[in-house]
Amino acid sequence: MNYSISNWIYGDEPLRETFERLKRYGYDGVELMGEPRLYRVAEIQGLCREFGLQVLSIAGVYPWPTEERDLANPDPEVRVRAVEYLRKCVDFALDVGAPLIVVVPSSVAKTSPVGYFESEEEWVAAAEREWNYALESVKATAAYAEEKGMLLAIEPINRYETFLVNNVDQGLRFISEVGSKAVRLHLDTFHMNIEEPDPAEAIRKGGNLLVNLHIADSNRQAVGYGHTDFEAIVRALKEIDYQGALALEPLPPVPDPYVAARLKRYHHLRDLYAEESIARLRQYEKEV
Amino acid sequence: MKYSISNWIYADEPLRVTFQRLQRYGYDGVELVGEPQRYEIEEVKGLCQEFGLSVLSVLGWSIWPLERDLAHPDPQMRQKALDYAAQCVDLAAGVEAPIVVVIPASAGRTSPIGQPDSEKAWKEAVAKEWGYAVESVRKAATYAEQKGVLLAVEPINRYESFLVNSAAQGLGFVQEVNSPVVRLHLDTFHMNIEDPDPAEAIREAGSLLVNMHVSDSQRGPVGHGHTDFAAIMKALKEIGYQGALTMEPVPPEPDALLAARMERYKPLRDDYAEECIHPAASLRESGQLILKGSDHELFHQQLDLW
Repeated sequence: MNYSISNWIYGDEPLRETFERLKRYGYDGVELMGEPRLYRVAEIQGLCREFGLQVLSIAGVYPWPTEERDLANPDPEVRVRAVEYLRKCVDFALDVGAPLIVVVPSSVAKTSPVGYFESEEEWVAAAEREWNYALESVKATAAYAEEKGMLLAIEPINRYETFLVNNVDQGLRFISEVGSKAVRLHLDTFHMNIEEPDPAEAIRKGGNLLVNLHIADSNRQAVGYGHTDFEAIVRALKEIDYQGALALEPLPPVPDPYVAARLKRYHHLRDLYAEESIARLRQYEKEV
Repeated sequence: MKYSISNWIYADEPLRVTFQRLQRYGYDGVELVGEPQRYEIEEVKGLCQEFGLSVLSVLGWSIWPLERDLAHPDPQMRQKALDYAAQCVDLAAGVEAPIVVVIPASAGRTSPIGQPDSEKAWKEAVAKEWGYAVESVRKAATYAEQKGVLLAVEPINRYESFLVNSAAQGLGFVQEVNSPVVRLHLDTFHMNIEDPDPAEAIREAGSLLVNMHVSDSQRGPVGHGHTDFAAIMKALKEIGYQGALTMEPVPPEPDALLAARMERYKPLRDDYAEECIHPAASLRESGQLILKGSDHELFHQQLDLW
C-alpha cells in the first residue's frame, strides 16, 4: 500500500513544505487538490523528482453554493461547466502523472436537491432527477477519461455534506449505472464511520473497484485520536488485495474542516499528525 | 434505567398514537419535543395515566434560525431564547418531567454570527458566544431551580453546531455554569463523531449525566450501525446511571428532520421502537435467535451480562 496526504488540509502551504514533510515521514506521494490553476506542472514534476514522491491522486473540489462544479445540477449549463472542470482535472492528472481523480457526484455541502419542494413526492422526484443528471455528467467525463487512460473514483460522503451518494451501496450502484471501466470507487474512513454499519465490510464490498481511500479517524483527526477500528480496516484492505493509496486527511480539532485547514494556531500539529498517522497504519499493516 | 423515545422523530403524529406504541413495546415514558403550544397539559397528564407512562424529559428545540439561540450576540435574541427556555421549563413542570434538554447554540448554526473572516476574529467570536451561552444557561437555571427542573446541556456534532461538540466541552460548559440544576446530556450518535471513546465520555461525566439520546452510528435503531452499545451500557452501569435512555431511531434518509416527516417511512416506526428496546426482535427477524421466554426478559438478561 502507498501512503500519501491530501494537501487541501494544509490550506495554502507552499508545495515545497508539504513535499518536505511527506518525505521526512516516509510517505510515497501526495494527493493534490483539483485546482489546476493553482499549480505549475513543471514545478510539481521537479518537486516529485527532487523528493522521490509521486502524485497519487487528484482530489476534485466541488464547493457549494457555486454554480461551477455541480455535476448533478438541474441547470444543463452548470453541468457543462462541471464536466469541463473535470476534464481539466483529467488533463492536469495526466501532466503530473496521477492515475485518478476523486469525484463527488453532487457538490459538497449541498444537502438537498436544488429548488423548493412542497411535498415528499416532489423532493424524492428531484433527488432522482439529480441522480440521473450526475450519472450523465460522469458518463460524459468517463468517455474522456477512458481515452486518456485516467480513472474517476466516486466518493460517497456523509449526510451532512451531500444528499446524493452517502454510502458504499449507493456508490456501487452509481458506478454500475455509469457502466464505464474508467469509473471506480473511493472510500473515506471518516465518512464511513457515520454512514456504514461496518466500515471494514464496506471495503470488502468495494473489492477490486476500490482504487483510493481517504483516512482520518472518527473525529477527523490523526489515526489513533478517535475510535475507528483501523486494524479491521487494514485487514479488509489486505483481503481485497488493495493496491491503491491511503490518502491521509488528519485535521486539527476544529468543527469546520475548511476553517481547521487554515488556522495558524494548529500548524504545529501538521508534522505530528503526519508522523503519527503513517506510523500507526504501518504498524497495523505489519500486524494483520 | 428507564426507556423512552423522543417524539420529534414522529413529526406531527398525535400523542395518543405515540403513547400506544411506547406502551406496546414496554417503554417507561416519552421525551416531548419542546413545542409548548402543541400540548394541553391536562391531555398529556391524562395520556400518562391511561398508558402508565411518564414524561421523562422535554427536548429544547433550538433549531436555527428559530429565535431560540442562547448564544446569540444580540441581547434581544438571547432574551427570546430565555423566554423560550422558561416555557419549556413550565411545560416540564406541568407534565412532571424532571429535565429540559438544552442546546447552548442553536442546532444548525455551524459558525459564530457574522461568520468572522480572520482567525483572530473567529476565535474571539467563538469565545464571546460561549460566554453568552454560559450566562444564558445560568439565567435559565435560576428559573428552573424555582420550578424544580434540571437543565441538561447537550453537545451536538460539528455539522450541527460550532460551539459545544464533544462530551469534554459539554462538561467544561456545565462546570463553568456551576449551578446545581445544570447537568449533562449525551447522545450516542453525536458521540460517535466527536468523542474518541464514547464509553469513557460517559464515565467522565459520571453523576452529572442525567439524560441520554440513543441511536446507532448512522442514526438508525440500535443494532443497525457499529456503535458499541455493550461498552456504553457497561459504562452507564458503572456510573450508576438512573436517567432515561431516550431513543431517536431515524429512518435512512440523509436529512433527519425530513426523515421524521416522510410518509414512506411511517411503517418503520413500530419496527424501530421494538428493535431498540428488544434487540432480540431484529435477531428473530433474521432467524439468528430462537427465543425462550419474553424478548423483554432476554434483553434485560443481556444487560446484566454487560
